[in-house]
Amino acid sequence: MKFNIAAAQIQSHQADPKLNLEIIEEMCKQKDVASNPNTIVVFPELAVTGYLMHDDVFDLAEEIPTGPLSQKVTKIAETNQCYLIVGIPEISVPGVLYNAAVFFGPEGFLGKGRKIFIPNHSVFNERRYFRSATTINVVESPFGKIGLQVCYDLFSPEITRAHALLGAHTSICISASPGVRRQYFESFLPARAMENTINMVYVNQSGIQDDLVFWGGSEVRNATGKQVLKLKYDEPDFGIAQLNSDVRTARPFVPTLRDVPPWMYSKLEKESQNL
Amino acid sequence: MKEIPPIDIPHTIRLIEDFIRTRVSEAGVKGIIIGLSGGIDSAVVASIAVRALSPKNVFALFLPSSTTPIADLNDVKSLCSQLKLTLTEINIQSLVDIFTEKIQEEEDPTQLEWANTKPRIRQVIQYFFANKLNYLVCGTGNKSEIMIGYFTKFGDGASDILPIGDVYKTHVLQLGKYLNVPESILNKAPSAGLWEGQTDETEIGMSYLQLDSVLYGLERFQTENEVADRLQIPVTDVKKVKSMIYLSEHKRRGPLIFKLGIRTPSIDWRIPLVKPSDI
Repeated sequence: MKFNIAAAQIQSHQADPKLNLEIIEEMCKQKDVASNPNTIVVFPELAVTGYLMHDDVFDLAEEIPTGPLSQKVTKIAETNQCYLIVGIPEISVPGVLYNAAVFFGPEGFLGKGRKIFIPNHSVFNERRYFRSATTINVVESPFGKIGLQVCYDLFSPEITRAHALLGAHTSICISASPGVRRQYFESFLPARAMENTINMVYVNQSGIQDDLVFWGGSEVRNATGKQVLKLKYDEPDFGIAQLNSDVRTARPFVPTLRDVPPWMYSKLEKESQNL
Repeated sequence: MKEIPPIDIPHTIRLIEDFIRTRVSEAGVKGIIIGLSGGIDSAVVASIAVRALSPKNVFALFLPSSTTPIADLNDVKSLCSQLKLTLTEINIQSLVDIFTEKIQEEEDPTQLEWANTKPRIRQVIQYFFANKLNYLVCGTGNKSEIMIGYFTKFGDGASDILPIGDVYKTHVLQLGKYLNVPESILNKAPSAGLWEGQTDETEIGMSYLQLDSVLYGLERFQTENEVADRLQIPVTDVKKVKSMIYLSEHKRRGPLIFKLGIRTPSIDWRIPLVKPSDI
């Protein structure tokens, strides 16, 4: 099955969901997106609230999908008959927050992926707010199984590998990455695609929030690692690429999933506990 | 309205004393400069500084202008007498006049640019003496005015330390009573003295008690409605305070540097404030 990914590389406003939802809706109203049941519009990490909310995240985080922001995104999907993936801060029980990628369609909420690797180094202060997800899942969508990951998750090859093992044909990484990290993401994205024979989508924030400059540069790679979309650096941009959910043709040539040695994972589990 | 709970006064004073003593010692300086205004904040800071250091290590400056009430001078004198501080008085009006003449503008104390000029001139003088004497400039801003940005950026907001920067005005008053600050200072309506008849509470649009009660709730992550319900005030008053907090956030941060390198000054190139002995 062929489907489209629309990368909506926006510049979110900090702690201002009202403005951000207007931008998100505007993107979803565009030609080739609205009423196109074959397109998923992908927005960056914490696109609905802005990445640098600081302590305002405690006010803005909500239960997904019953919270007001989720409900508004659901309405956008319903009104424009489109599919979209956005970043929203999630609250599970009072005081426990997750940084989530959430998938909506005209039929409503489809699923979510919570960020596993919560950065607290360099400029990042996310552990002040967010808990690490305790599981890896994929979302069952009308497009088939799709894995969701968030930004720094891409630095860990296990997550995309797990998406592939769970049957996903595409792994989507929403991001808020400042410029000094660009070379990492641009190296990891094709690597994750090729090492797992899985479609990879990366959508980054662009522009300035406080003291961070997000480098944009969103891109899409197919299951052979070929770049099928690249957006502008540093500024908001938008582009559409076509992907195929049938990744079978890529796999005989690079049969890494067939060759996965299960014993290695128990070894990794054991050794990682000895760090 | 429920007032904000009192703080442990003796403990707070002990911590502030320790803070001043530690900063002076670790900075390798001899003392601190305090600009006295005749108000409660500078009186409290000076009183604690004298306890932390000694009168001879606290350089008291009074920097009046043409709009400074004479009562402030009298209050500053009685405070210095009580604390055994030597007072240095420099009237800044002639400097303001020269500045006015040089830039060929007419002074209007009610306009922002002029309201901010006097505090900035005062800070030039404070830093002159700080460099000359090898002292730190000790700011006297309190948490209430810092949180709503009721201070002049690079004016009274410019200092090396802010000992009562995390103490609400309501609590500063309690500290003042405990420290036996002269009654006339305790009973005076808080004012920045930028023009005749100016008072903080008129300018802010609410009493310090109400402001502090709102800030106290917001500090504890209470929602706007929770704060309004608790205090029995309109939610618009809470929104007004929140708005002042957001609009003044730039005043509470250093000049914004945006990230270009691996480690960025003020963001993630972090080192101790004190130089290790082997460097």
